[in-house]
Amino acid sequence: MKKILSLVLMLAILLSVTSVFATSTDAVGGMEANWWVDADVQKSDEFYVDGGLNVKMVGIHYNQYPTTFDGGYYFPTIEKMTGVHFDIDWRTSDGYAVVVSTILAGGLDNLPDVIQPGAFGIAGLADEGAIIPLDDYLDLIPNVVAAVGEDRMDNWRSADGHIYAIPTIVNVPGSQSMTYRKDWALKLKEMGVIDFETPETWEQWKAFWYGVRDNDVNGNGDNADEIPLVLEMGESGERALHALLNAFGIKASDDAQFCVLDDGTYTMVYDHPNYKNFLTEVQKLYADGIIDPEFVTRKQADMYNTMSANICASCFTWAQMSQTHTEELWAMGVEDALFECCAPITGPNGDSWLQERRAVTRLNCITAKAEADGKVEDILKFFNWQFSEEGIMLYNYGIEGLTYNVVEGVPTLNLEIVKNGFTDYRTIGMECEPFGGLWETNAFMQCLFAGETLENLNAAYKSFWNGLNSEGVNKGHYYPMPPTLETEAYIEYRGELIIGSAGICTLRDQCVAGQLSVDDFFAKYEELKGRGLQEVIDEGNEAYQLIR
Amino acid sequence: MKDTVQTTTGKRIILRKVKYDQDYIKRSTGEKVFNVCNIILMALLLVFLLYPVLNVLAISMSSETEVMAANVTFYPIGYNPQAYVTIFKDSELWRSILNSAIVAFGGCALSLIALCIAAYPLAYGQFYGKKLYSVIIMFTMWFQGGIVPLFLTIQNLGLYDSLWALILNGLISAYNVVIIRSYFNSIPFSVVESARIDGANDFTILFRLIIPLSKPVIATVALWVIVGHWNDYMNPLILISSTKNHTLQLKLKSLVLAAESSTSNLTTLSQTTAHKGVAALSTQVKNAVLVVSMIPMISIYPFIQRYFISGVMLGAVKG
Amino acid sequence: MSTVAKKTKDTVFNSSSMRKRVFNNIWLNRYIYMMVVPVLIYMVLFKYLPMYFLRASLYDFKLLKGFEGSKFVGLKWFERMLSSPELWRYIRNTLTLNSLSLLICFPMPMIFALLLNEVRNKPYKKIVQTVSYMPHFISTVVLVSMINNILSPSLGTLAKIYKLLGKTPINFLSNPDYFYGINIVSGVWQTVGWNAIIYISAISSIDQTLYEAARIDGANRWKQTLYVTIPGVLPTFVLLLIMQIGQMLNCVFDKIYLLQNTLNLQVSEMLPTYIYKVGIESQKYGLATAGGLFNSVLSVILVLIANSISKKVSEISLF
Repeated sequence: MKKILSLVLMLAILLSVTSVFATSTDAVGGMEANWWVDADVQKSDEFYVDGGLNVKMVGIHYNQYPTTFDGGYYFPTIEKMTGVHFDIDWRTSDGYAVVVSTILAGGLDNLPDVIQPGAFGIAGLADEGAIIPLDDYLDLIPNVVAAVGEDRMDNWRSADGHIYAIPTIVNVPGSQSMTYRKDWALKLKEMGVIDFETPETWEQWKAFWYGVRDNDVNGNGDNADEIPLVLEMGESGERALHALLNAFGIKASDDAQFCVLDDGTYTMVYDHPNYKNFLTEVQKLYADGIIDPEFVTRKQADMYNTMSANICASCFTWAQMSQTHTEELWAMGVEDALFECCAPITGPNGDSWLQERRAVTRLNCITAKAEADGKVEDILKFFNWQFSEEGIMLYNYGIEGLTYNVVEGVPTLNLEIVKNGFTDYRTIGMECEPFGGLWETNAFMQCLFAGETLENLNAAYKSFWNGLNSEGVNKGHYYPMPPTLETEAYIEYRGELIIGSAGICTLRDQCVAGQLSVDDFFAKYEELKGRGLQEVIDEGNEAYQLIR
Repeated sequence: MKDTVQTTTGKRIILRKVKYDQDYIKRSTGEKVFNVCNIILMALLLVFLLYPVLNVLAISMSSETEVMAANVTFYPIGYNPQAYVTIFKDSELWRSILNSAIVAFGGCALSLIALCIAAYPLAYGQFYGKKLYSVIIMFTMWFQGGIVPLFLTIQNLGLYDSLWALILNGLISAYNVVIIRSYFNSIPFSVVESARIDGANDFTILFRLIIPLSKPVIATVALWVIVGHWNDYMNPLILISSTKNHTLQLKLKSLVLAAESSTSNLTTLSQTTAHKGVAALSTQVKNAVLVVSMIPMISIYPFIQRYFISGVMLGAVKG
Repeated sequence: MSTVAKKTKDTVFNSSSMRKRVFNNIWLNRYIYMMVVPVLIYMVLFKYLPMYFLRASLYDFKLLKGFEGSKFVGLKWFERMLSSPELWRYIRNTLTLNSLSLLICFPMPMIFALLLNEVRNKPYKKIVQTVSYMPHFISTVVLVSMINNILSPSLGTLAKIYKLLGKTPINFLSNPDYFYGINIVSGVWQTVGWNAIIYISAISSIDQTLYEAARIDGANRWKQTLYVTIPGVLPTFVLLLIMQIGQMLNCVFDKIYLLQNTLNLQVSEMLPTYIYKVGIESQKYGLATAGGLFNSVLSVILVLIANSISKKVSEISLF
């Protein structure tokens, strides 16, 4: 027995070693591996650090980007052009708050030079004295200021009025959309269950959902496995159900906790006049089996699984997911599948709203360690360079002549790079969003169209485009998201009263699942207000009026 | 079973294996029923214990469509080793396995020595302050500082972000000291006494005499320590801050249980890419990672098993 | 009359000879002291030094700023914790889960060991025992993934079985009624084989002559088990029970944390996870320290109570 085991182990190890060697020399997007090493790249005239600069950084990395950035051109080329060498420790967003705590526990000497706040929060880092405000240094970063623009400054400032972070800017149209299985709607129409193809009113949405619930639309013989509306819980559960919130006219913030009332007051969504109606309706939908029964545990990846597993009838997600999952279903043999992007769910009062994509997001903060080492000015000058013409071209297009050419004044990426949409584009190292930068509409569009014209796009891509572009199905439905203001009271009470086990989000989920009646919910809400939520609301409103 | 033996006189004798005379006693129907039930129960237990593991193994090797359709139970459908290829390319995973191995095995070796040194005075020493020494050790079994004090201690001792922090943190645990001490107690004191009379010092006694006699308990405790380190998630989470020092469980958690891209209010709403079929692959990759992490531990224990079977006499009975 | 006080040398030890005895003892035991000292140093550094840092519970502690930079808030955290209306519910949840676990999970290994002992077929016995250890080597992260795999109402195996039987699958993971059940069943899965090791070895160290005596007295197998085997393992059982009771206010943190979701938080939030979320994740480190302290103190009290009860009832105790 032991001999067999050790043989198996040895085989496994051998296999692994060989496979490491086997696949490391693939060409991606028409570019050979390590194509940038010998590229002729000039030192930048605008910014160069003689003697080099080493910047230690800790950031959050998303799974969709290459796991290590070794295979990409971006950082080596930055070093060639500016002399700045980045030593980055990428972490996943899961448990990031604890990671930052661990780093802080190491004391000032062990801090990196640049840190991304993630779930730990800028306010938290500022409180610890770990990061420095940049207000006095704005003259060093004029490119950044210009890129943000006057009207987006409030996305850049923190709740205490200071600016702490270099932002990442995405000048790309809003990219989330409501999507539904059009082929199933057509089937239901054929069966006479519904009389429309695209649900446009609350009644029609309900008819579609109930139709999906009662019939075997995915054709596998099982009546009950389709989920009419799949919902993802978001990271800490605050965001679940936000698509439905919008349908009831509640224009919520990103974490679905705050909104601005018609009279300009900033408050929690639970105080919105329509909230009671929302809860009652949603409670009924859950009881009827319309709403995803697993919505409290449904992570984003699980939601995608349901889409690929041919059981999701509608959901709210990135418009691109409609395209990718439609094509996946085609590959799996479901030939007429189509996730069609459509306007957001229309509620009983006719509200149909969608969050505008937030273009400016706070990302890289300079730490007290950098200040202690006197590196602040150089680092800021680097970020200024990143937002300059040169920096933007490198981030979006790569190296001229190798990955793009200027055609009639428009930088055009090589066809092979964009043929696969965003996949190869990112694998090569472009648009390194975890690091941040400015992503241009032009580059985005080239990847989106993947070298095709609008007419030649297949149905999946057309759906994606529809959901994405501002002239498409979501036109007129966007609303600007109110910010989630990190006031002192918010930081103090969030853990216990919002996401805690007796917090408002828990109560909301319990109410939806039928474990709590709507009246009890509001009664408990009043209790929580007494324990501190009222402070959160008041301080939030104050801060909001100041920012406005 | 028959064995033939030749005696010195050349005569051939057939030996028959002696069975317990219990086997010859006529058994009542009650006992027969009980036996049958017992065997069935054990078989059910086997299924209960094995099923989840086989499930994971099967999913990791099945084809995408079958996984999505949830048809996979305990055997793979549609052979697809793609997940394993993906994993083996991830150098971070191997690095974390190496780190875990260093902590587990290195830590175990040091731990065993430290534990024996700690237990010996309790078992064989008569010295002033023995009671105090005992209380000092036992108290730590129930009262610990907690997470934040641990943070601070490790930082103050200069062990920040080092594998040594993990090794030293788990070096001596009062529970293990009790186990080893109990075992030492079951070795007759006369052994030690006569060694002392022969002029041996306590170190010699411990290392040359007692430890060889204590193989079962040493093997057991060694296994506990190794497995404890290998499966430990909380301590590396708190004590290790850079990815190059990650242990396997941390890497596992970030691969398997993390939500894929976050949309919390504090991070960027970024456009996500989707490789074709990435959602399906990730389930298999997750399960393949689980398999890879289980292999080292599972392959160790058959080797150490023989020490258990020979009877681990804990003597905890004697207190 | 002349009264001369006579010094009785033989009944009073003067101080110098007392000192001589002490030094003599220390010199004799010098090697033992050489063993004791390093262990004590370790204990002080790694177990007692963290207790010094418990004073962080009196500050609004900021990790980077340390003690100098943090504001002193006195007993604010303790007040805040004790005034939280949910605190007692968390303690109740913890106690409920641990009591259920004590009732069900804890005796299982012993019962398993007893049953296994009755299996006559040696190879079968060995296989079952070997497989039963295996779950122990699987870490919590892996275990929770497996639980999710199997219990998912849309993509899991149990759901398939339900559908085959024509019923709608139950959402086990979000249903508070099933939380304890899932925990206990997975707890049994993890521990039944591993914890049985101790009992199996205790059984094998029972004197065989006792069995023969019982057989001669005409006892059948059941009676033998009742009067020989069980008393043989009972002391081990009780000792482990006491140690387990000391853990009543703790929980297997990882597993609970990973299995929690908003719908079962009413029953799944335990004191350690609450402290972790409100303390570490919300960066209130002083509160986390205060919570940890509170937890530890309660645990010590519990152990002392359990130990003294056991002393009165059965003469078995830890000290």
